[in-house]
Order: sequence, then structure tokens, then C-alpha cells
Amino acid sequence: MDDLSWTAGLTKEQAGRYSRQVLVQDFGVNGQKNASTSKVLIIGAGGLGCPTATYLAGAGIGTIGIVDYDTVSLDNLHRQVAHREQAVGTSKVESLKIMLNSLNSSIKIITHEATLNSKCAMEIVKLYDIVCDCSDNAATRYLINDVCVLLDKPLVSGSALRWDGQLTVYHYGKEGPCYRCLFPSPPDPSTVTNCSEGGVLGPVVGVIGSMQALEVLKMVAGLPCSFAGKLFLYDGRSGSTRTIVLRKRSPRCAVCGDEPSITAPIDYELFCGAGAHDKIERIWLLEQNERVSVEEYRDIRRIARPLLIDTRPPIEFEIAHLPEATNITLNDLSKLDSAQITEKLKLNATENDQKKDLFVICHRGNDSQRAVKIIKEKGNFEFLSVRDVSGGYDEWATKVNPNFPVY
Amino acid sequence: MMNYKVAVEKMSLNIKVEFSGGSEFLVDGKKVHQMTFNEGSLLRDVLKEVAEKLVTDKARMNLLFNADVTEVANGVITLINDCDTALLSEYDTPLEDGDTVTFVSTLHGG
Repeated sequence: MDDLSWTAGLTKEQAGRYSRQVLVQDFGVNGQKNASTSKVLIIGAGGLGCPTATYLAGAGIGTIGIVDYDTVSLDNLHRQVAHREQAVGTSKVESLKIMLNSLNSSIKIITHEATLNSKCAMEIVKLYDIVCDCSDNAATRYLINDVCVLLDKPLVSGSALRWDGQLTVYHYGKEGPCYRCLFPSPPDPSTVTNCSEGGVLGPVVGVIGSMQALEVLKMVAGLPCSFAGKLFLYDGRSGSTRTIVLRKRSPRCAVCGDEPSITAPIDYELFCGAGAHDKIERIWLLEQNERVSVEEYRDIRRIARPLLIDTRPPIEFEIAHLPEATNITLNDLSKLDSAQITEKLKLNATENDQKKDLFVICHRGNDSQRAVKIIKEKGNFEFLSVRDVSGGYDEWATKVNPNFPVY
Repeated sequence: MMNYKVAVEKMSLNIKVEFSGGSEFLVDGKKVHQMTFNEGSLLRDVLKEVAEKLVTDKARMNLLFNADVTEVANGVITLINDCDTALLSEYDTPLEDGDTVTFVSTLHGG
């Protein structure tokens, strides 16, 4: 026989690069060949998207699409570990693409630098076989769900906050529920905490994002998916995990039911009453005369030390606060009566304080307005006025003291 | 006489109530609580008891329950012994001694 003839399942390059996963029982040559022709879309190039995309690129998924509208910021880097310091201020999809290309130059990376919305979602998602929801807000999660059901794509969904992570696979198999089967109505926006408010630990998104990548690899290898119809809960604080059995696909579901009422993407920001991002939205509850600008407050405190309530959680108060501030959270303010609040302020006051006016400050100027409302409703105060510092510490750092630690 | 007393006395059910995904902040930050219920109690009775006796942050009750505490809030899944109660009899599911009831707030961050 010819010395130079052989029969191969993989190319020399594939065998050399992927041998350590091809050797794994049940993944094998078949899994690798399927991976190289698979197209996977990753929505969100953040804490979940970075590990998911990195492992899938390493594993040789032939085409990886990335959707994100946002730019890299310094406070992303503790968890969004595929981005580099040099990328701060630049596009997340481009930053992630550079990293993935340097990890594996043999695969194709497609970037979609856009906010995924009702207009573009169908066009983008239809290019792929499997979708990973690595997004950070409820409106986008409903959009991705509906589009995956309409285009019949399996959806590997991860989410995380603080110490906790969750993972499930939606719209997989005949009986697999979709996001809407579980949550027909969106959460009240006031009850949704995002990572910019609640914080999140990097390894927690790392665990969930890695598991999302593993579910994709099982799917491309033709192996049964572990989390269809199940919800994996990870509590990083106690180190405990649990997998719960979810309901089946609902025949009455608005999108995947037997008689669906949703046959095309709807307006998800309207449906959820919240924007398709995880930024804090500014509210305006007070009259102009109930607020002072940071510059006005600066001038007031130059004359004498004012009485100031800081409504942020103690952790945030501890990061940095103005020296005259007394930390009373919004929750405590609503529980305490006016005498108790006055008492707390006096404990922290000095002889030279201006005792006629009371000011309230918070992170960005939303809770401080709520606090002014709460305080005024209590009545029986000796203060002439209760006002909030508009824009909070963020604005203080922008306009008065650039050295003040912001977060 | 003793036997008679045992027969009429209602057994009390020891129920572990757990909170996950952020709902624990309403109940003093504690993820696990022990409660007792009368025999014959249903899941809907747990909602009422939790709202009355465990929730310390009443202002944010809407994170966990609807206004009249007849259902959980949107985005919350209720489990009995790690099983979605939609697979059981939902709020009419009878409690059994030793059951664990879990309220899971779903997360949206990433």
C-alpha cells in the first residue's frame, strides 16, 4: 500500500489542536466535526459572554457571533475577563473578537455591534444554530426568548447577581418550556436589581458562563442537554448548588403554546416597562425648589457644615462619603419616626452645623428624592427645608471633586 | 384517655422556608427559616405567614408577592422540595411535615 495514504476523521490541524477534547468519551471525533460547522450566537459580551465565548472559541466552534452595543469600562474588568485595560472605552464586541481571534485564528468571529431589538433580532438570530443569552436585563431576555421560539433555536440562558448564578436551557425538545412558560408577565421594574446596583462576583459569572459553553458543546455533540426543563441554581456564598425540575412547555404560552398570540417580536421595553440595558434610569420626583445642585451644595457647605443624610447601603457609604454625612438607608428612613431621625442626625452633628436645612444625598440622585418624600410625609420636623443633592455623589465627582471615589 | 387526646390534637407541620436570588433581603438577609403550620395547611398559607411573620422589609414586599399576597410576584418561582409547584397543585398543594418551600427570585444580570 501507499506509504502516504491514510483515512482520517479530522485534519492534521484539528487533531493537533483539539486532541485533548476529542479524546473525551462521548465527545470524540463526531463532536469535533460538528463543532467546526456549528454557528453559535452569544448575546452580551459581558461577564457571562466572556467565558462562554472564550471556551467555545477554544473548543473550535466554527462560527461565533457576538452581539453587544456597549463599550468596555474599567468597572467591567473584575468579571469580564476577556477584555483588557487597553480596551476601556472601545467596543465590547471588537475587544472580545480580538481576544477570541488571538486564542483561535481558525474560526470565524462575526460581530454585531448593536442593541438587540425587535427590528434586528430576527435577522441576526436566524444566521445561527444555537443562542446563548448572556444579557443583563429583562427586556432583552424576553426578546431573545421570543425570537428563539419563532425561529426554533435552542436557548442556553445564564444569569447572575451578587453571589448567585442561574442556568437553564429554554425551548429545547418537544416538552421543554420557554422563558414565557415560566414567566408569562414581566417583573415589576422596581423589583429588578442589576449588577450595577447589586454587584456581582467575577467567578460566579465565570461558573455560569462556563456551564453555558458546556451545554453548547453537548448540543453540538448530539448529547442530551442537561438543563432543558431544569433550573440550575448556584449559591457561591455557601458553595451550594441545586437543580430543580421546572414545569413543561405550557400549551397556553403566548409564544410557544398551541395557539400563540405572539407571532413576531413585540416592543419589549414597553412590555417590561424598562430599557434594554442595565444602566440606572434617572427619575424626577421632586419640585425644583426641593433640590440643590452639587455646585449649590458646595457653596452652602463652604459657609458652614450642613446636616446631610446619605441613604446608600452601608457598603457604599463605606467606599467614600462626605464627612458631614449621616448614613440612614431608605429602608431605615421609612421605619424611623421624625424624632428618631433628628436624634441620629444630632449624634453626628457639631456645634457649628447649620441646623435649619436638611439635605439628602445618594449615589446618583434617585433614592435621595424618594428619601425627601419619605421625610416630608413624616412631618413634625424642626427643619425649614428638606432638599436632595441632585445627581448625588456621581455628579459631585464630575462637577466638584474629581478625586471623589465613584463606582 | 391519652389515646383520645392524641387523636383530636392537630399535628403541627415543620416546614423549612428558603429564599434565594435576592428575596432573602426581605427576610432579614437569612436564607433559611423554620416555620410551623397546622396540619392541612396549603402552600397559599405559607405565603401569608411569610408576609406576616418573616418579612422585615415590608416596603419591598412587591419583590416577593402580589398586593394581596395570594400569588408570588412575577419573576419568582416557588418550589416544594426542589420541584416547581406548577408541576404540583400550585397554591393548593398540601404541606407535609418536613417539606422545604423555596422562593427563587430569578436573576437578570450578566
